[in-house]
Amino acid sequence: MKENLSALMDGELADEDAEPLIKRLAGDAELQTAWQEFHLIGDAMRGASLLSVDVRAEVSDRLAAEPTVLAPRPSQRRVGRPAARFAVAASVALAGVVGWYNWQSQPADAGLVAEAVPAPAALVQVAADGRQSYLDAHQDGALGEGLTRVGLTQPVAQGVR
Amino acid sequence: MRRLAACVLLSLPLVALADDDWALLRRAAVAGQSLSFSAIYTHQLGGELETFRIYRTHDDGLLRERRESLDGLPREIIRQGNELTCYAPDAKSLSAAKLSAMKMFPAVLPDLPSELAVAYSISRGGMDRVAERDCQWLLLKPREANSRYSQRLCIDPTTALPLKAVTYGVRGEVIEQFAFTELDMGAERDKAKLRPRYKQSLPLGKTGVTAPSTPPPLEVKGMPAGFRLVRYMSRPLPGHEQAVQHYVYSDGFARLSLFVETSDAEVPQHPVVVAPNGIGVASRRVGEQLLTVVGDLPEAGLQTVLKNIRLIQK
Repeated sequence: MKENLSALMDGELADEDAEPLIKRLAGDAELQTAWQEFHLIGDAMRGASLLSVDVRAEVSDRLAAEPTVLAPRPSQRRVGRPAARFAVAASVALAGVVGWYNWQSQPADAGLVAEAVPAPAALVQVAADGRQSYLDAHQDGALGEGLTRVGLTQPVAQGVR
Repeated sequence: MRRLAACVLLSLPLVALADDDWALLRRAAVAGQSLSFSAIYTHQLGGELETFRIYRTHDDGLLRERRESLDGLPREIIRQGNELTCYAPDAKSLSAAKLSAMKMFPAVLPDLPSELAVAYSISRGGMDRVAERDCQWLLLKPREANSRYSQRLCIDPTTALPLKAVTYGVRGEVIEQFAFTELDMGAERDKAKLRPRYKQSLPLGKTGVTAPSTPPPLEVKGMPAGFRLVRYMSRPLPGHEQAVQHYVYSDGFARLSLFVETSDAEVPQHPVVVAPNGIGVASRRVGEQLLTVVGDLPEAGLQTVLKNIRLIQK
């Protein structure tokens, strides 16, 4: 059974075998422990610094032991009246400033706004003399490398999806 | 002797501090790649600003992630475990999506950040606040001044997630930056938010799997410390009669392409050109060979590379 579990973790178990195993895993505490341990071992072997330490049991125990506090909540008081008044004044003032600024900068209109919408393709266009093909090739090559650094998490139960 | 001992004693805490900083950076590398969250972040490159939304969750141990652009051309990048795919409504947006997949914030650090120590020194900056969270600045400066760009990362000390990442040029100018504006830790439960919306797709291949590449015909010596060869290919280039040798290098942050070709073409008038997005091109002729380097390095860095490399026939 544990061999199957290990195969399931590696995504090497066929769907028809995986399904009964997962059902059993849901109800079998011993298997669940094995599952946790396998992941811990896997993490340690990969040298991941966020080891998946199992604290579920301890946390549930602590929660169960915690006394329930039965006390009325303090009603929410509305505080800071003067501050609210100040905020209104401030926003009126700000609206004035913004309005005045907009009025001042009338001529800078649609053209600027349209330009501000970025077209990422333009980001790699360098005013280089006939060197665009090198740049494009660099983007392609770098892209592959960029991808290799993304994955840490291994697909675990791919056969089950 | 006594003075030496005093020096060692005094510098010990400094070494220990740097160790702490590298440890935080290692945690940040893992957190940036694997934590679950829903967020909105901005990306500034050169004079352009873009905004993205990202959902990341673990589903049966499988990492699932969807990021979509909120402005500019509509595009999405979907990640399922190791597989990355771009989605967009049309071909133009699709090629833009490919570019957006070049840096996958907050996964901006290499798998093994300790390797950066060869070329960069680390120091701790002050505390800051990004997306309503406190964060600790870490500064990575090139050991050889002006040879590479500097990096600053603001890292949430509790989750180790990088909340902001800034690349600085040699004059201290900002070249590129990413920053969360809204961040909600925890997995997204609505599966619909992880599914692509657009029809056209472009698979970008699997991550963590290095494609078998042909062994390069030349040995390249004299690359600056920290750079390692990531892949090699012989490829056709538009406007070039013969296939060009393409060597791709990385130092963990900067990516550098070296092109080698036999050509009698003139070296362009401006030997080094660096665009506002920080990517530069430089060429040099060595005998019958034309060498071209392209990468996110400052002008001095590109020139040093071109000047120092030697090609040895295998």
